[in-house]
Amino acid sequence: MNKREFDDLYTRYAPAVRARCRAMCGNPVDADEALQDTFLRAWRARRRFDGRHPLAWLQTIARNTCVDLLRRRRPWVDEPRAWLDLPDAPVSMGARLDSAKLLSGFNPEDAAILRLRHAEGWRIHEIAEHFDTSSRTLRRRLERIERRARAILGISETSHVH
Amino acid sequence: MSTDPISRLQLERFALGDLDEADVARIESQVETDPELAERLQAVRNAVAAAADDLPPAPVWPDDEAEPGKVVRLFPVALVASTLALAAALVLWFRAPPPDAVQFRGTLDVEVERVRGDRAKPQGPVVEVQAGDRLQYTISSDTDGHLMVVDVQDDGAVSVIYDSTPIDAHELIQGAAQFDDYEGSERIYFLFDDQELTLLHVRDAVERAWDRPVADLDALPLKIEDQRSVLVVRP
Repeated sequence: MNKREFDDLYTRYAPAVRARCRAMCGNPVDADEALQDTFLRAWRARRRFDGRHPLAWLQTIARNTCVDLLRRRRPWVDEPRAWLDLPDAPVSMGARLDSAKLLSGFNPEDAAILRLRHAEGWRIHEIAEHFDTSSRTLRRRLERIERRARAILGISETSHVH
Repeated sequence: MSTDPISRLQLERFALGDLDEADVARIESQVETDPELAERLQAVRNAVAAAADDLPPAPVWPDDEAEPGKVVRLFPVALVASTLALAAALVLWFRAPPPDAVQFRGTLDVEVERVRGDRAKPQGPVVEVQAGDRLQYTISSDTDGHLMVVDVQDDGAVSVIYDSTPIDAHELIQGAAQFDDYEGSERIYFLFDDQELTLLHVRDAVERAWDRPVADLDALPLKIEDQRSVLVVRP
């Protein structure tokens, strides 16, 4: 593919790629950086691409790019404490602290799984597809992540998890 | 509900008009009878439509002969700033003293290796470990001073690895820490000053940085001559 064809690829697919980057990264600055990096990585890898299923190819690159970016762990813009059904709604500063605590307590993939499920409302099979694994494996992994999230946020096991 | 749910990728392609007529017809017919699928499709459409607003321009595709990493981007200002901040952070890690120090007379030289089984591997600013791994460090300074090595976990727990000890200029200090089955991340700080350091100083600094995860806390807010840190993560 030449540069003009890659411009067309960007025009066509960047919105869908950006949407996933936003879902995974949880803040707009990281998401747009991931978007740019995804397409530059794709450009450098274009000779290895067989031309079939460009969106699937780009979303795989985007997923890996986001995982790399999540290592920096900028706080999310949402309120993780609310995901785990804590009765008292947190004040914004507390929510930001919770977000930061959660992010630093997980590896990047686990942090993304937690966010996709609870902030974005993705179905288990959608997250499994995204991470190229089975729904069963993903479900078990999510249960472990939620247990740990509760421990980090100091929420008892008896509270209901969405 | 279908036992073979339509994938998110298919819904994205549907939203972008990227599917052939047969697949479009199949999804449309399922959407009519499956409210959950209709809800998922709407969520994907909304997300893609929102992402299409103010879409940043495409990157400038680098020429093939360009060196890897020397690519040109058309970033919004915020992204340029974040890239510069990252570069500055890397420089800080290797050379610079903490930003709030007044005068810098001594600097540390820190080398870190992860030991797993019989193998030692040099590490950068982020160290991936598993239970049983050891972190081995070699430290020297260019002036006399006091050295302290502490560990700060992401739950706020602080522990001393190497208590504040006077060291001579260019003296090689070696030590190691072994990791247990703690599942979170932690940061190990190598602190250097002309005055004795105490655990109280470190705890106070951690308290003052309460709103920052250890992953982002490259340097503790301490007025000391020099400090380095490594982030320890469990993959």
